[in-house]
Amino acid sequence: MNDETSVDVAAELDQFRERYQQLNRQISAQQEQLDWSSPNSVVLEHGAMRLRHFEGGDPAQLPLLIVYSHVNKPCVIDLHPDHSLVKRIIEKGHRVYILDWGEVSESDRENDISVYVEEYIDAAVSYLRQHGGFEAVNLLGICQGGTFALCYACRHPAKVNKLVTLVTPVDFHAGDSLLTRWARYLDMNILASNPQNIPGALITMLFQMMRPFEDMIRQVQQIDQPAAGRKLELMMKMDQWVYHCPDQPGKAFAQFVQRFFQENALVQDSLEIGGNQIRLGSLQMPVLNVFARYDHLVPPESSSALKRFIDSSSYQELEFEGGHIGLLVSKKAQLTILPEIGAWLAEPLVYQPS
Amino acid sequence: MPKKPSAISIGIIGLIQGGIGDDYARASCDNLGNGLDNEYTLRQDNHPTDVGPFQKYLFSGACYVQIGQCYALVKQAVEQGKNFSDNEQLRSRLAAVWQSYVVQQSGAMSSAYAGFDVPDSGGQQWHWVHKLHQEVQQAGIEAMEQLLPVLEQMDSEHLDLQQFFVSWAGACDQAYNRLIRSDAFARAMGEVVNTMLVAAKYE
Repeated sequence: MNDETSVDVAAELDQFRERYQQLNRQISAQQEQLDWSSPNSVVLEHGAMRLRHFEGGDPAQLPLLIVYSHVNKPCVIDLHPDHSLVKRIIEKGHRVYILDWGEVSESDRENDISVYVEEYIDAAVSYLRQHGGFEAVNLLGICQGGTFALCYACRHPAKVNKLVTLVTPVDFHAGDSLLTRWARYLDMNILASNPQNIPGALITMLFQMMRPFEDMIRQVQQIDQPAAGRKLELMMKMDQWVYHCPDQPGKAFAQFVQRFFQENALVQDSLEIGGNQIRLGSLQMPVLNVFARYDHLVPPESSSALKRFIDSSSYQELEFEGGHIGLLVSKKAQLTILPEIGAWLAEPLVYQPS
Repeated sequence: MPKKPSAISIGIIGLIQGGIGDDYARASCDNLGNGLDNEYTLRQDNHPTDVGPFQKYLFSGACYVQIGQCYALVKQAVEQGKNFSDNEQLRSRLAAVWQSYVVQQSGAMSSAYAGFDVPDSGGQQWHWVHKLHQEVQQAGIEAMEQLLPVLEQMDSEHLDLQQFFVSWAGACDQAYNRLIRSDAFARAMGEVVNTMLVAAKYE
């Protein structure tokens, strides 16, 4: 090799190594922990589930219950004060509660989806109705949590005043869903017949495998231009959040893959939870459906399929010009779509649920 | 108990930290394509990706360094007025970086596998893992065969390292997107997970 070429490139790579070491030192020094950024307290425990109440909001307002996906930790919606869905909603005067699914243990492996929809969500809703003296609460479901919230609202329409679904899969066969492709050859009968919890590492791996080269370019950019201060803090929290997927209860996981991903039962009116049929057509409360145009996990076509089932006078949708996580965390979402959701929730009801 | 680092992770760490030596690291990564048996034999004690949320910077950085070394070959060829698109050494090194990175991503599977408390029975159980890696290897070779002539047509005298890296990663991204949307990949993935479930069930 030409000596000069070799020296030039070697020097450039040495500088890159030095920048990596710098990032590494910053990461070591920062010691960020994955946790909620807004003050909150647990007001109800039910099995593994914890109902968290966040400080702030107008006590006269209907409580808003947020149901997050079971496959990631819910604190992503409140990682940092400047990147907090929770904070943006509270700023609009709402009282915010989050259903935290809690840690999955060995004893949860036989739990089916009805435990999460009919027991955990219902326990949280019942608590809020009893303690606030309200007939119904507002419900906001995110991703898989949105699918669960839809199922709950179908079963208990009188308990849900308004429903917001965020990046929620509805038609699991619509659009180009990588997860649906990957689910095709999974034999969930193996798991259903002898349930065992699915290690969170497997879920982490599946997410990591979705677009590794985009991630690589972003990570090299991070090394080249190391973030500092709040940016570094957020980056580290996001990295930890992405890495730490919780274990999944075996039976519920098998059901979700089989009934939703493989059979697409939700949009075919063939879904039963706890022996009760789920019909999307039974939704009567006002629904705001929010999805992301560049969502790599839930194609927008999958979410927007919801409008086929709901009377147009009760249905509104918003499309965010960004991705799945960006809708929850990005600066752009904090300034645009999240305050819009808060405003929609505050609008007086034109329609009253019967 | 903390996991011992595997040969691959030691190699990658050495590559970017410059402490162990690039040759050793390169050899580790080059061996990835051929040495899967060894890698998976080691999986019970060594999980190359079970190393925490921030190690991805190390892995991605190591790939950047390797691509930088490939870039030096390109630059040298350009300075000597030679074609580089048919340089077998260059092509195989670029494909090896693809392979090491993709395998590193899916290498978490071995960690997940251990999470199921499945014994190391080897053999037939790894049929689909090997199938998966064959798919990955083939896709990488094809991607590099397509990339180099395109780069050669560009203004290669002014091609800098960052552009070279982004072009390489872009080609990998396209190839990867095709790969993971293929039925063959989905089948292999599904069978790997099914194998885990069955093996864990009967243990």
